[in-house]
Formats: sequence, C-alpha cells, structure tokens
Amino acid sequence: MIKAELYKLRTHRTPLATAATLLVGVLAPSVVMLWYTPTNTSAYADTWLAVYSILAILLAIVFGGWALGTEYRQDTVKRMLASEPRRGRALATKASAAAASMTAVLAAVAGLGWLAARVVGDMNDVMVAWEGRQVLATVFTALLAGAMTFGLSAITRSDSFAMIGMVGLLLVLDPLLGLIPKIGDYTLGSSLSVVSDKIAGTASGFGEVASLSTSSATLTLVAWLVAFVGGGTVLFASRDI
Amino acid sequence: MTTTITRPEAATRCVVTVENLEKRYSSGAAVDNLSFDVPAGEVVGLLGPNGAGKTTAMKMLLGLVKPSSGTASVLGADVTSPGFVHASRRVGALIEAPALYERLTARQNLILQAHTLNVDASKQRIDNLLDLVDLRDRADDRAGAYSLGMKQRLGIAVAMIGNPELVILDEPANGLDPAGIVEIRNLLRRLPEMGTTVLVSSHQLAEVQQACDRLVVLANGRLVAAGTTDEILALHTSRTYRVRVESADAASAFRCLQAAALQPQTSRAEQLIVDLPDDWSGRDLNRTLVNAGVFAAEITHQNVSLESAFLTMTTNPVTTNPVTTNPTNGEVQ
Repeated sequence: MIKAELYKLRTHRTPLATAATLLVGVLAPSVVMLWYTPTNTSAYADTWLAVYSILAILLAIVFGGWALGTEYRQDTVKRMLASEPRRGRALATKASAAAASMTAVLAAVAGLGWLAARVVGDMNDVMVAWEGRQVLATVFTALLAGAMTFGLSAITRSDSFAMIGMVGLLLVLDPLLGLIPKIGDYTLGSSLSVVSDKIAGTASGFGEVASLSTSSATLTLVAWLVAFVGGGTVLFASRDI
Repeated sequence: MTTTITRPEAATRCVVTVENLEKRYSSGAAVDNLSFDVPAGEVVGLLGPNGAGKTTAMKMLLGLVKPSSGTASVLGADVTSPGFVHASRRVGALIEAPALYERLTARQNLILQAHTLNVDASKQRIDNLLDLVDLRDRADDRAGAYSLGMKQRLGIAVAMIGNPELVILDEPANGLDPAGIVEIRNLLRRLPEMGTTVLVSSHQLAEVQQACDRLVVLANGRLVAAGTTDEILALHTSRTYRVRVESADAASAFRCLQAAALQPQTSRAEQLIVDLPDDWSGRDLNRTLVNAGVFAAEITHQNVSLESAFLTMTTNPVTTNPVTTNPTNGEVQ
C-alpha cells in the first residue's frame, strides 16, 4: 500500500504544488539578491531561512490536511478501506508516506535554498551549523504541524476543515489561550517555541521569557500530538464509513 | 403476504453468507435481521426502495460499516474477523458513486488501485481492463472529465483490477442513459464468465430482471424475498388473460365466460380481460370459447414484470414472512 500512497503523492497536484511553492519561495530571495546586495552579509542566510521557516509550516498544514482529507473529499476513502480493512495500518501507511515525502522535500528545498544563497552571496560567510539547526527546528515544527493537521483531518473527515482548524488554532485560539494565567504556558505555540528554540539554539523570538522547561514543553507537545493524532486514529478506526 | 419460493435445483458454493445481520442507529434499524446467500458464479441482485438498507448491507459486507449483530461471511471469512483482510483482497467494490481520483487519468486510477492491492499493474493488464469497460480510447483522459456512464464503467474496472472472485456493485447503472444501462448490463453478464460472482444493487428493475440470476429483495431493512429471478416472478404470476375476438363475437364470448362462472371484463369492444381460477389454464379458457362457437383471435397471458412484483413485495412488507431457499442444499428455510 505504501507504493500506492507514494504514487498518489507523485501524481496529484497538491503535493507537487506545495513543494514547488516552497522551492520558489525559498529561492526567490537569492534571485532578488542578484540585483540587490545587502549591506549585512548575514542577510543572505537570514532571508531564505525566514521565508523557509514560514512557508514550510504553512505548506505542511496544507499537505497534512490534504493527505487524508482528500480521500474524504473525493469519497475515495471507501475504496481505500475496502481494499485495506486494517484501518490502523492504512492510516499508518498514509502517514508514513506523507511524513517521509514531506521530510525529503523540506530537506531538499533547504539544501537548494542554502546553495542558492551561497552562490549569490559571500561564500566565505558560511554558517552551516547555525543554518542547519534553524532548518532542523523548522522541519520539526513543520512535521508537528503537518501531523496535527493530518490528525485533525481524520477527526473532521475534511481537508479544508482540518487546514482551517489548524490555522485557527495557531493564529486565533492559541494566542487567546495564552492570555489565561498558568494554562497559557501550555499552549501549542508556547511549548513549540520552547522546543524549537532549543533545537535552533536561539532565544525565544517572541520577547517573552519561556516559563516552561524544555522537558515540560516537550511533554506538552506530545500531549497536543496525542490529542490530535491519537483522537483522529481512534475515530478513523472506529467510525462507520 | 407470505413469500413462497421453490427450491433451486443444484447445490452451490456460496461466496457470501449473511445470517441475522443487523445495523441499528439511534434513529432505528437500517438493516434488520437480514439473511441471504450469494452462490458462486451468479449475478445476484439486491433490490429495494430507497432507504431499504441495500447500501448499508453492502458496506457491512466490505467492512466499512460494523454490524450491530448477526454475522456476514465473505469468501469464507467473517467480516469482523482478522481473516477478512485476506478475503477482502479477493473482493472488488463500487459503493454508492464511483470512487475515482478525478485529477488522475483512467490509467492512473487503475495503476493506483493495482498498487494498493499489490497486484499486476502492467500496461497489458491495465489495457485489458480498459478494453473490458470500453475505455481504452479515453485511457489517458482525466477521470473528472468523464461522463457519468464512463465513470461508472471505470469504477467497475477499478473493482476488477485484482481479479476478484466477488464484486459488489452499488447502483452501477444509476443515472445512466439507456445505452449506458445496456452497457452495464452486458458487462454484468460477462463477469461470471470470467469467474467473478456479482452482487449488485439497482433500481433499474427491468435491467435487473435481465441481468440477475437471483434476487434478494429488501424493504425497511428487512428481507421480503430471496430466490432466483424466475422464482420471484413465479410467485407473482398473474392469472389474468386477455382475450381478443372479432367485434361481432364479443357479446357471445362475454356470455359464455359468464356462464362458465368467470367474471370477464370488457376493456375494449373486441377485448375481454378475465382472471382465471387456479384450476383453470389458458387451454381451458380457449376450449370454453370454442365450445360456445367463439374463436378467439388472440389469448394472451398477462405476464407480470419484476416491477409489479417488486411493488407488491415492498409496499406492504410488514406482515411478510419470507421463505428463502438455501442455495447450498436447496432446502426451503
């Protein structure tokens, strides 16, 4: 079944379009810098990484929601589960194929973005370790967001509801929860920034001192992940189609 | 109404066995105490009005809906058992609407399904299936651009990709024009020749009558009749005859039939309609007329259609006590 999932990813427009958008977005700063030379040479690295970190997460949400949600939208989920009645296995296969493909694309685009910045910019200004950690933090965040959107698509049985739900959670619900004392420390955004900052080796970029330790933040993230992916898995396995 | 069905002649292996199957929702039972068999190598029609439980029953056979109670066995495996995984590989299905990836071409849809089942995805195999459903010329067009009939045929090809022993087709002729319906009917008749048993639900009663060897009739989630198509029709055989005579003989014919204790009705000047008692045949009717000096131009037995039998069975199924025949041993149950 993994072969079928990889075939779907190769032949459908959404995965190809998200990968292409990410690539174009990441290469664009370097293309612009062919004409515009920044005064600060670190801009060569900073700019492509900034675009990469934003686009990767947004596109991971799109891709995560699409991977399963499209089966519901096209009503092909019946065909899929009539062929593979082991629903847990079907879901795991789909998630594995999506995660592996996403990781490969994120890694490849990061490599190309880095290379383009080096070709255009100052080859002496190479910060492989720092940039590598930034990429790693972004890939971690993107995979988490993608996995949660994937779980949400199993819960809502819809790709669009899953994507909108995830964006709504990150941009609306999460900041609102953050306003609540104590509870606000355990929001997705708060715990994610603690863990991703740890991976990236940077301080929190949001101006506030993180109140959660790395281990607490990691556990909080696991709880969020379990709630979305675990909930989605249980519902996917038990609901009538 | 009590349904009585004669025994089938030959013992047959069953690929589907359903016993007291039920699916209950908070709103009520979608399938209620349903039992039937699908003999191997036959085309079996699942009939019933909208909401009769046909699709739910088919989904339970595919493991898409969990039964509330009862058992359903497909190719020897209970649908709720771990062994069903292997059996399901030998089942093809088309449920409700053709489940196609509309952005993909017909060929890509078939390759994808072949990969899903881990079966032969070679060009030759795909081309053979496209030939079967007459879509070879449009194989590289996107499925989303197909007409409904073409989508239905592609859906059947997708169901057939794994060389299934059983295909379950839910309303494959739904929404098709007459030519499309004939194509689907011809296709259904060809599948058993390829070793595939067919369980098909349909509202196209005339088509079912021509395409199906055996019928299972549902109403309100319950079985109201099961047996061969001929048996079902025989249950509802009309005793009505139409007698056409010369206009001048009409009055004589009317009187002689009245004298024979029949109750003829005049439908047109030269035509009488008469219901015969059980111990009368068409021959007796003709003899009575001849003895009275009336020579009929035509005596026609009013054949019952599946449509009228279906309406009779499904419009008042509450008191039905169905009697079905077991295709395995031919016993009346």
